[in-house]
Amino acid sequence: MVKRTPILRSLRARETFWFYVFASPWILGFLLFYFGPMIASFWLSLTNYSVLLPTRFMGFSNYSAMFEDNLLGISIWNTAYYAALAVPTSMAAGLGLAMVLNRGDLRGRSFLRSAFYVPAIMPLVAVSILWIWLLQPRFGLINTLLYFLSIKGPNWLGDPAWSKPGLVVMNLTGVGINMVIFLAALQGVPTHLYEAAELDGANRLRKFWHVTIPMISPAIFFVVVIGFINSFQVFTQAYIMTEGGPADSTLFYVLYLYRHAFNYFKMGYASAMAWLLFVVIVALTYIQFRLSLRWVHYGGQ
Amino acid sequence: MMTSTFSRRRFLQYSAGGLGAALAAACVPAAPAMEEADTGAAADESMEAVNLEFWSEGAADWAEEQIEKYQEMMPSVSIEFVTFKWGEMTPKLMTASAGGAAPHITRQDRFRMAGWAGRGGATLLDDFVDQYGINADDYFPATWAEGVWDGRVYSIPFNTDGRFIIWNKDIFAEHGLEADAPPPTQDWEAMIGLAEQLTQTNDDGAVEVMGFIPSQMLGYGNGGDYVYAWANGAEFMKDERTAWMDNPLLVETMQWQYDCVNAVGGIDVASEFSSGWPTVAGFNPFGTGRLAMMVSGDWNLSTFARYYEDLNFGLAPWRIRGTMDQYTGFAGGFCLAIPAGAQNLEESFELLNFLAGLDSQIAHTLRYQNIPCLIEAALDEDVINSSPYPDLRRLANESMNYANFRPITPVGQEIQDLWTFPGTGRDWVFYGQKTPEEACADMQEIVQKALDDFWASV
Repeated sequence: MVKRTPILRSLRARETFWFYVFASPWILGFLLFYFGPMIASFWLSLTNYSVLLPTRFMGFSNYSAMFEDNLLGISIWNTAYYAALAVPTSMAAGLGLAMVLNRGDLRGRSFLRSAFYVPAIMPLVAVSILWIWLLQPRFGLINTLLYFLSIKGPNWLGDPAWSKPGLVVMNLTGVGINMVIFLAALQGVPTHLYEAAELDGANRLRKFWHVTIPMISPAIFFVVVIGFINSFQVFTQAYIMTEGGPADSTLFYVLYLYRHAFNYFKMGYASAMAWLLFVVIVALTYIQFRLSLRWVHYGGQ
Repeated sequence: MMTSTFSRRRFLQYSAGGLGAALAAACVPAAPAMEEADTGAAADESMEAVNLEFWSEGAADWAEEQIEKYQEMMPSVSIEFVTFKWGEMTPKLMTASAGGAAPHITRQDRFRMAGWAGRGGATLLDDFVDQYGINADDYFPATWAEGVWDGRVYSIPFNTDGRFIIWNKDIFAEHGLEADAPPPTQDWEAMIGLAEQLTQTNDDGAVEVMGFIPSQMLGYGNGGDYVYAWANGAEFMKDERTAWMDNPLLVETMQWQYDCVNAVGGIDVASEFSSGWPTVAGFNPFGTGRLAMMVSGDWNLSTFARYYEDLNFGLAPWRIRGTMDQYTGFAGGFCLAIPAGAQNLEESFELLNFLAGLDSQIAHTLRYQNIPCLIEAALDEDVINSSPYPDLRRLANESMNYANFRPITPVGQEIQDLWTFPGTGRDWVFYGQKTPEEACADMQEIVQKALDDFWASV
C-alpha cells in the first residue's frame, strides 16, 4: 500500500507555495504582457510580417537589412548623442536640486519640493507642446532669458545643431523624479560622517566628494541605469515637437521604429529593430553593472 | 512511496502551460472577412438588431448628428462612434485589424487607401457600388481615383480640400505691385524674385515680413510640395512597381524650392521665422500680416473670417509652369471605407452610403467649411453662400475639377514623408546636406526598396 504524504507538508513548502501565489499576478502579467510579446516579436523579426499580408519566413534578412539602412545609422547616432547629454544633465540637475532642498534651514522646503516634482508627472505630450513655445527662437522664454544675459539664443528646434540640445533642456522638466530619489538618499547619509570629516579639516567640496557621493552612490547608479534605459527609448518629444527634423537631427531610434511599424506596415523590420535596441540596452546596463563594482558603495562596504 | 510537493519547477510548468494556452487562444486567426455577405444571408437579418462601429479621424459633431438621424430611420441599428485626431487612427486600425476587431466603417485619409487596399486591409466595394447605383462621374475625378486600387473600388470619397496660392494684398500694394492680380505662379524665376522682394527684415536682421517659403514648415503652409511637382509635369511613379523619385522634373522642382528658400535668406532664416508658430487657428503668420504669400488650403477662408476679419487677401489656383490658363491643384481629404474582416457588410454599407450621401456631405460642409467630394454638393448654392467669401469658395470648389492626387501606391506614405514632411528627404536639400540630385537619388532608393518589399510580399 502506498502511503500518500500530504502536499505542502513542510513549512518551507507552504511558504514557497504562498510566495508564488502572491507573486503570481506579477509573474503572469510579465509572462503574458512582456515575455510573450517579446518572444512573438522575435519570431516576427524573422518574417516580413505586415499585419495584413501573408507572413513569410525571412531568416535574418531583417537584421542584415539594417546594415544598409542609412537612416537607421543616423537614428542610432541621434539617440546615443541625446542619451549622452540627457543622462548626465538630468542627474546633475536632480542632485543639485536635492542638495539645495535638503538644507534644513531652507524656508518653504516642502512647497519647493512639490513644485519641482509636479512637472515630472505632467503628461509628456502637454509638456512637449508647451516646450515648442518655450524654445521659440524669437519670443520663447528660454531665448528671452538668454537675451537678458546678452546672449542670442539659438533656433532650438529649427537648427540641426541645436535640436537635440533643445530636447535635452526640455528633458530637465522631469528632473523632479531624480530629485526625489537623491533627496531620499541624502537623508540616509549619517551626520556623524560629516562631523568626522569636519574634524579632519574637510571643506564643503571635500565632504561632498568623499562623504556624500560615496554614500549616495547606489542612488546615482540607479539614476544612471534608468536614465540610459529611458533615454534610449526617447520618442514622444520628437514625435510631437519635431517629427524627426530638422534634417533628421531628432530622428531617434524608437521614432524610426514606430514609422516602420505603423506608417509603413513593416512590423517584421520594426521587430528586428526592437530586438537590436533590447540587446544594446542590456549590453549597456551590463557594462554599467560591471563598472559599478568600482564606484558604487552599498551599506556595510 | 510517492511524495508530492509544490515545487518551483512545478509552479513554473503550470504557469508556462497557462501562458501557452493563453497565447494559443490569442493567436487564433480572426474570422475571415466577407463570408457572411457572400452567402447573402445578411439580407435576411436586416431587421434584426445590428451593432456597427464607426471610426472617424475628426468630424465628431457631424458624425454624431448623422448617426442620430440614421438611428431614427433604422432603430434596429446600434452605432458606436469613435473619433481620433488626424493621423492617430492608422496605428489603432492596424492593431484592431490584426486582432480581428476592425470597425465596420472608417472615415480616413484618402491617400492612405491604396496602402490598405494593396495589403488586403480594405473591403472591395465594387458590388455595392453597382447595387446602390453609385456613379464615379458624380465625384471630383481626383477624389474618386484615390479610392481605386488595381481597377477596383475600395472607398467612397467624402470630403476634400484644395491647395492654392494665397497672398496678402496689402503687402503687395505696399510694394507697388498689382494687388488683385494673382502672383505669377507660372513663372518660377519671377516667384523667386517676388519672394525676395517681399521679405522685410528688422534692424537686428530678424524677418519682419516673410515673402514666401515654398515648403511646408512647422505651423503653416500645406501641400505646396506636391503642387509644384505637378505644375512642373513631374510624376512620382513610372508604374505601379517602379518609383520615379529621381525624375529630373522632381530634381528641378526641388532645386527651385531650394532657390526660393535661399532668396529669402536661407534655411536658417526661414526656419527661425517658421519655428514656434502654433498650429492652431488664430496664430497664423499669414493672418497676422507677417507672411506675404503661402500655399495652403481652402480651410483658411473660414479661419481668416473668424480670426482676421480685416485681412485683405487673394486666393487663386497654381498655374502649370509656363502657362497662363492651365492650373493644377491638390485634392486632399477623406473617404469612407469598410476595413477587411468587418462583419454585417450589407448593414455597414447601407450606413456608409447614408454617411456619404448628398445631404450628409452638405451637412458636413456647412459645419466645417471644406469641399464635398460630390460635385453636386460642392456646387450647391447653400454651400457656396455659407462661406464668408462666396466668390473664393466657388473658385476653390470648382477648381477641384482639375485637382491632382497623390500617387496611388502602397508606398504613398513613404513618398509623402520624404517629399513633403519636415524632417527628412527635402530637408537634406534645404539644409545643404545633399544636392537635389543626390537627395532625389536617395529617395528613389528608399521608395523603390519599399516597393520591392511590398511586391515581394503580395
